[in-house]
Amino acid sequence: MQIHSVFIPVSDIDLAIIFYTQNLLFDKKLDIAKNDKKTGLEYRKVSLVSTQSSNPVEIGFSTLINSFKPLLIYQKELHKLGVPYLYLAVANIDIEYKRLLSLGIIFSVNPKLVGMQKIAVFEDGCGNHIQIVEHI
Amino acid sequence: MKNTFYQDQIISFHTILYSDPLHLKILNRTKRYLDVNFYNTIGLNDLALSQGFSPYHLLRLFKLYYGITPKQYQITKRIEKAKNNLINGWKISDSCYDVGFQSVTTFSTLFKRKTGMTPREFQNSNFQ
Repeated sequence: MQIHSVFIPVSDIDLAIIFYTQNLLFDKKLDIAKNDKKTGLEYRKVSLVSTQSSNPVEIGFSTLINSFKPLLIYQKELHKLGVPYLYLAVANIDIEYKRLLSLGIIFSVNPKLVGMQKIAVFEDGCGNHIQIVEHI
Repeated sequence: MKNTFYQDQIISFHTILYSDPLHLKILNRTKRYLDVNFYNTIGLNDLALSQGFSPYHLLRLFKLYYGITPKQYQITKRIEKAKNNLINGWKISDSCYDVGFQSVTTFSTLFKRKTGMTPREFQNSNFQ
C-alpha cells in the first residue's frame, strides 16, 4: 500500500487552484465536474501534483466544509490556533520564504530552526495554514 | 503580538528536545559526512570518534535528532541513489556496487524493504 492523496478543505475550489498552481507551483492533474440534474447535486474533483519532485502523492480539494459543519469548525479552530493543515518539503526554505513573501503571502511563522528542520508557516488564503519544511 | 498556540508548541518542542546547539552542529556535520560518503564502509566507532562522541552517545543522539540510526540513514541514502541509477538505465548489479553494497542479494532485500519493490520490479515500473 502507498499514500495516494491528501485532501485539504476549501470553500472555493477555483481560488484554491489559483493559489496552489500559481504560487506553490503545483500542476493540475484532474479536474472533473458533474452536475446531476435530477438531484441538483454538484460534484467536482480536483487534484494537483508537484512539479518539483517525482512524488506521486496528489493534493485534492474538498468542499465538504460548505455542507458538513463539523469540518468547517475543525478547520476554523486549527486556523485560529495557527496549526498547519498540510506540510510541504522544500529544498531551500529561505529562498521559498522570500519568493512567497514577494507574492504577498502572509506568514504566521517566519523561517525557524526546530531540531534538524527549518520550518515556516503561511496562509493559503483558503482558510488553512501550510507548513514548509527543509531538512538540514 | 501574542504567540499562537502552534508558535508556543514549536518553541517548547525545540526547547525540550533540541536545546543544545553543539549537538545540533555535530549531528548536522555527521549527517553531511554520511551524505557525501554513504557508499563507503563507515564504522560507528570511527564515525563517533571523529565527532568526539562515544559510539553509544552518537547512536543515541542521532536517533533522537533524526529518528533513525546512522546506519539506517546510510542505507536510505544508498537506496535513493540506486533508484536514480536504475531510473537512468543502469544494470541492477552495477547500481548495487556503485552505491557501496557488496552483494546483490543484500541490495535486493534492502531495496524491497525500503521501496516495496525488488530492483527488477522498480526498473520495470519505470520503463512502462
